[in-house]
Amino acid sequence: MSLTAGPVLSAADVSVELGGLPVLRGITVAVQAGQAVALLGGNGSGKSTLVRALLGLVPIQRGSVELFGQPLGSFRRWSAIGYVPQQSTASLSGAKVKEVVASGRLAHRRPFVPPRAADRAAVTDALESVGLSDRASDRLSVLSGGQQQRVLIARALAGQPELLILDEPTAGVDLAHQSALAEVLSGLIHAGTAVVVVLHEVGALAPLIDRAVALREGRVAYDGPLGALAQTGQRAGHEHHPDVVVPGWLDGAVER
Amino acid sequence: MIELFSYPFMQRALLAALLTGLIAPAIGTYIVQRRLSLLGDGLGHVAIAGVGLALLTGQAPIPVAVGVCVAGAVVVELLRQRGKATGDVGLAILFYGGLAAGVLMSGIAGQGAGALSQYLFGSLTTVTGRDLVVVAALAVVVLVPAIGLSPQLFAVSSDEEFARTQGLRTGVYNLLIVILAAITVALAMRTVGLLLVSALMVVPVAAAQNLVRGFYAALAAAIVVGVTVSVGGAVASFYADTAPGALIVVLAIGVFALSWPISALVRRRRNVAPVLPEPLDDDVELGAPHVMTEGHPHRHQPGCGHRVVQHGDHTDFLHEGHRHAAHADHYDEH
Repeated sequence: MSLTAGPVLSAADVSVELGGLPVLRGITVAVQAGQAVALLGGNGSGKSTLVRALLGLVPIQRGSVELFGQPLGSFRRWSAIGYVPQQSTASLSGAKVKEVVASGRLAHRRPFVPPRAADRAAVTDALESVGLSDRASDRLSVLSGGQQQRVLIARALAGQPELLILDEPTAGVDLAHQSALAEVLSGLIHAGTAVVVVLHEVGALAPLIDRAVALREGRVAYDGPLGALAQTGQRAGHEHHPDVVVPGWLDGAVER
Repeated sequence: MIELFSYPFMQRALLAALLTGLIAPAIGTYIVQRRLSLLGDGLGHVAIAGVGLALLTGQAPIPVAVGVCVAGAVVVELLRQRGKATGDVGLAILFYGGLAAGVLMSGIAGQGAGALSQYLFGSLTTVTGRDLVVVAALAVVVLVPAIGLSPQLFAVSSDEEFARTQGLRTGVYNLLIVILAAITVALAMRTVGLLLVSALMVVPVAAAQNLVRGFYAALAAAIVVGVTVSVGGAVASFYADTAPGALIVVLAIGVFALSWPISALVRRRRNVAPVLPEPLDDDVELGAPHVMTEGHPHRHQPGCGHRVVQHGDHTDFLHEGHRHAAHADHYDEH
């Protein structure tokens, strides 16, 4: 339902330092509505830091980020954003599944106002789309790791986002459930949702991805179709071939 | 029992205990969720400085303690948010500085450390009418956001980064949590006392989490436990002629101790049905594995002591983590 024709997400020359060490060095990337972008790279390549920087969760030293055409600092339409963090459910463990998922509606709600029917319906739908409707009243802590991951996905889906950012949603999830997740995501993409997904292994999500961005040492090493990335010999998510360098990756960005 | 309520000081004390029992677990729920269980204890030490200041200046202790305690809480939280209080040394200095300043000021005021003790462990006879008005007004100030903003406070205290991506101003909410905690601590000094108030913020929450499922259910249950032990402890201390704080905390810990076996019982009853997860649909064509065991000396039958699960047309017996079903001359594993 975005009226703006521009990119839903754009980063220009983004640099991030953590503890004095450069983690991201001049990242330029843009994502259009309805696009599915895989963010690939080895451990420590900066892919998680990039999505956290795009969401304003880590401070940016240089460069700028725009969400739906708004600079990050003045962006307020958080109801359009869905975020699935890397699995970290320790402090949520006492809560019920549906309570966790309901917190994905907070950007739609006003303080002191009880949830409306639309909020409750969105929570029910989100749980159904990840196949956990029957576990709604269970404690999060009694679910398996893969199920907890799906709860976090449902929490992001409950907000009915226009831009969904997932940080390694398939880590620790078996292939059958990866396929189930792929089905959910493909429905969203067809409905016009932009999806940015950090992946270590492309796995079952490969058919959905229409663009891959590979990071290496905090720079964009590749930006293009997923298939072409595989042909360069640089296996997605791995760095077994340091001699194979996609032309232009030193520039920090590949303009499309 | 009836004559208890005929003493005006006892009426005031019981009302103050009721209000404390209401607000301490309500805000304590978020403190526990944020893993700051000992924050209340530290704030109690800061409030002692407030009491000392009140004794020194001849003011009513509760309002002064509330002010000092809130100021201390804001300093601690802002230092934490700026990343300057990662070590606990800064907090320790603030907290013990509060205790030392309180003792020092009450000494200068000529009251000695003894005058402080009624604030450290609570005292039924000291709740004045004006105290009660302050306690009631500030209890409302604490309860309204603690319950009205519970979805927001739950999100911020359990998953701060996600809360930020929901557009919640987590810095403001975190500040709100510690300010409400500071007010609660200072209000509790007449009933449980400043050294034991932290227990009333944490122990009913821990007990409630054992007894019920879910965040909101635990919030409600913690308040019920808090009110019960506060009022119960205040009544009992009247008869035992002891400081109410000690009895309130002992009662709370008693409830917590009881919540363990109760939760184990409840959990065991709940766990009967889903012993083993059903296989994924995709695996069904493989069929259930058919495992032969090496001899099975025990013959399962109704009443043999193993838990029984109805499974389609036959009965399974739960046995060392798996299900056994009699099948002709052998047992099937399910």
